[in-house]
Amino acid sequence: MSPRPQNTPLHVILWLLLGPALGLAAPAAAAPIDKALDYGEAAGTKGAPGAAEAAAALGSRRAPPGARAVPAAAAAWISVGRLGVIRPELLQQALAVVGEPSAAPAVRARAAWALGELGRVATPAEAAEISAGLQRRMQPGIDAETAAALVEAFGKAYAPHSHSVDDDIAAARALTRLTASMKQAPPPAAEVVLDRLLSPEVTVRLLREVLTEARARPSPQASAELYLATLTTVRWMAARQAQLLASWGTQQTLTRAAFEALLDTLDPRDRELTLLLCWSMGNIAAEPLFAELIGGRLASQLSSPDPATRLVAAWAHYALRGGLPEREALRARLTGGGPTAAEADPRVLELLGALRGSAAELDPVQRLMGVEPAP
Amino acid sequence: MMLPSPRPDRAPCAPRRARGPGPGEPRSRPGAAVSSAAPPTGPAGRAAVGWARALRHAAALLLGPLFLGALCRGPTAQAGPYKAIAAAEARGKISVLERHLLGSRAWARERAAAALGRLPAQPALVPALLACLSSEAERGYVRAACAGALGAWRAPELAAAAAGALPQLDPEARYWVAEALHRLGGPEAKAELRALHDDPDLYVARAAREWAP
Repeated sequence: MSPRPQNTPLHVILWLLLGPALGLAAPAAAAPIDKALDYGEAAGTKGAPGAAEAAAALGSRRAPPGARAVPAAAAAWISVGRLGVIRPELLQQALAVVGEPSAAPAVRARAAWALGELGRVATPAEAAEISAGLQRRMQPGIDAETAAALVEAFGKAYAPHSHSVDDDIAAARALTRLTASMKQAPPPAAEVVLDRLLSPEVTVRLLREVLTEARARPSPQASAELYLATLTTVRWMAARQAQLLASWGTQQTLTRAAFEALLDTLDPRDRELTLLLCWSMGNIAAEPLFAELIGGRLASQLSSPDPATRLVAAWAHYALRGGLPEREALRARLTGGGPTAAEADPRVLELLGALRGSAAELDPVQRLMGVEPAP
Repeated sequence: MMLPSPRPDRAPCAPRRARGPGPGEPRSRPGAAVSSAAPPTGPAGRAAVGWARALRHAAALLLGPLFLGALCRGPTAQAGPYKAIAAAEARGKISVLERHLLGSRAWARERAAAALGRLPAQPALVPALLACLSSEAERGYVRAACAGALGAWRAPELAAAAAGALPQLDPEARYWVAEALHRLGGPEAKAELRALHDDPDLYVARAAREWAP
């Protein structure tokens, strides 16, 4: 039988004195997430490269959704982004996590964020590597959180540097492909980045490429991409109406090509796209110079079997009244002078009746019918 | 805790000697008592017993105090700053958040500032947040978080402090300070946002144009 410990009052006194002292002095065991965030404290010090390496290793550990390792792994990538250390192996680790479908969205998104932050401080060559890696990972099927972070990070790395038109088109296509595949609304950063990518030439070529692919290989994804590319184009043009007008003398060809590319996407079988085009043309082509470019190509929508399309087309033709073909097309539709019967839908007529600056003015229906104003 | 008290008048038990069968003897005799827990008798065995006893002493001496110390520190301290800040925010413990706001870890300062911004305004802490925002020595993300708290509290001093800080900040921090100005609202804040319309960062510039056309 072994002897029992010799517990005397002295032992008890030592316990009661040492206990609180040891407990207060001993640091609490660092929780994994605290440790992960602590790596970022080395930013700007000699320990930054080592900390970045350790943080990247922590962030690269397997962390599927719901795993206990997720918060620490995500926090580790925040530290990587803050440390600002750029090394090829670190970039590859981060890109691998971003592109890993089994990783938790929070981890993938933070890895993307880290790449964006590194892209901001990178040399042009490093930024090109980062943005190219992110662009390759803009694949359909990514979750919304990762997609948003990926797009934002791409913008950070790509936008500050100059690129060729072909590079811009490839980037715009990748962004369009990604956002078209998402069930949720596209991330706000997508519009910001696209707006930075687009120029008249990029806009026209992007739209034509997407249209060619959609017509050659129709699919829901292709239709969605075409819709988004069209929406991107009309938004870009709407934001630059004044610039396009001012540069008409020098950029007439490109501006004409942009309107042509838009009108070429018109497809009566695609209701959403048709509505978008009709409304957009009324919005951006009210200037008579631009209205002439439409050239009556929307006239067929005035007699669409879809009442909503007729409604929007009627409004658009009123807005485009600066163009002669549009005025004539609207007159023919209202008076029955065209190949189809006159418009009889009261909703369309009521809309046109409301389009006047003041109650004293004649509305478009009255004017087209030749009504004389009251004395 | 009651510790077992030995009886001083009781001599320690002598170890039983191992009784194994000798050469030629049968392995067991009917009725013979053979101990299965016989203690080691050689030098190595005695040393092992001594080490085991020492380890038990050490464990008894240290674990108890550590446990008592842990009780003294309290549950939130045991969790580390991350959870401590989250717990303090959930309980509205401003003093804990203030302590972390002035602490040694930049990420904890950031999280404390962000947590303060999600709680009702604390006028007494506005000077500390302003000092943080204005400090060039502070990390950009901490300064942005302090601006965020000031914006959430609608502290009017934010606009002037942000004007001084914005040129010193990295793009990510500039964006969040701009967002804080947007939350603050008012003519001074909008004027600062308009100054960012041509910011070299695409997100800062776009946000500034949307928030202050």
